[in-house]
Amino acid sequence: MRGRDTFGVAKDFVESVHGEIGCISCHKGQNVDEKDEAHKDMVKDPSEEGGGGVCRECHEDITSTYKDAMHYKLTGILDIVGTITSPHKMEDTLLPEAWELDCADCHASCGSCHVAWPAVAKGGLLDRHRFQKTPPMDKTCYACHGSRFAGEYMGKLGATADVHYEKGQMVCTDCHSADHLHNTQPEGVKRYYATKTIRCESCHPDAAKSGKSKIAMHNAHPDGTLACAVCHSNTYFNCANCHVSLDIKKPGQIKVIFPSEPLYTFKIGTNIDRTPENPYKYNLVRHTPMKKDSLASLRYWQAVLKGAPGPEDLVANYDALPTWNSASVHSIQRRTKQNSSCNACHGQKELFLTEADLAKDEPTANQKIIVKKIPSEIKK
Amino acid sequence: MKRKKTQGIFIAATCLGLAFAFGPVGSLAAQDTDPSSSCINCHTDLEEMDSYGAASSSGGAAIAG
Repeated sequence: MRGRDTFGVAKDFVESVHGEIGCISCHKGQNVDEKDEAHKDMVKDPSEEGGGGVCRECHEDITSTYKDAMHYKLTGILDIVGTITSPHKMEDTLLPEAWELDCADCHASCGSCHVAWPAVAKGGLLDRHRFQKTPPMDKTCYACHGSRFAGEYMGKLGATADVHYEKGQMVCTDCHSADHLHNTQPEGVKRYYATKTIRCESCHPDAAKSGKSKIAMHNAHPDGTLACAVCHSNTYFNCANCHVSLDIKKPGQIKVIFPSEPLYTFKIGTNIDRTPENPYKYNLVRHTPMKKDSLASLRYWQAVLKGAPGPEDLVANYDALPTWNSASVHSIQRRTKQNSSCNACHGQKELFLTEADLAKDEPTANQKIIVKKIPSEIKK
Repeated sequence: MKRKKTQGIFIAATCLGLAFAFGPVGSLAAQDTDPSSSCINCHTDLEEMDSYGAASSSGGAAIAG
């Protein structure tokens, strides 16, 4: 999805609280009629700098935490890239350039959600510069998360939309609160370690405790065994083989391309991100589209662009992280194929991530994720 | 000496009074010249702005995650 690259401003915005500040106060530039001169030294996104920019003047409470938040710093991606390319130093590779070309598109300033389409959607203003207190999820969240969570949630990927969207008409911020999004804890490196994320039990207390539930299947599984989505999610989108490559068609026009084959799967794996907030032994897992040679083309392009090739083994530490990872699948339904009966799951080997699902050249860390013992069929 | 002092106070009070009386008029006059008037004139012409948008909206979507 992308925005429409228009910069028309509504007259009522000019009279609003933010409009009364005046264009030049935030965007700089010159107050003259001639276009080029007017745009000289203009700041397109005045909310960018330092995680708040000009917004900081009035919204210090939010910007003081947002500068360290996951959506601003992309610490999650940065941490993974740093780990799998260790011991290489970023500055010795073409990774900083690749980061700017692609990864950084998911970086969000205040304006990326509250005023304009995010960079990845390559668009202009969301609503004629009217500030959006709650960003519209179909334009902002979906722009970056459309190929996973938001796409599933809104029914654009997979078998069904999420029941919370379909019947509950809930938007992303109903669960992912502004406070959580603006103040990622702790340090925003791994989302499963966050302590402020809302839990299913917060709204469904009756389902919470094994032995105290009205639902027999909930009572049958001890606390901390299964994440809710294991029983209540439909099939979901996966990527298989991803080879990141750079494509230079014209001088100065470099594009990152991601050829990959989409898959719809359902795999229960071992949860290696267990915390008090995420205590489940089993979780759904999704394949991360990363192969050992995924960044191989950067070596060639480093030679073209910088005069010397990059490291041969850029993803030197590939085995350190699994490519099957905990998934927060957003296609929740009350009734699913696997929860239709005990034996719809028990004894159904294809629902579980096993050795047979791993490709030959996948990282050894995947061994921690596979389920060694499939729950056996229940005899009547 | 006392008369001169009274005269001084009178002049100062008159000046202050004039400043207050004409102050708001001066401020209103300044507001007429909006420091962003050119930006607003151009960018609130939605038809004109959209013509730029239509011209530059080609190209594919990029969904990252």
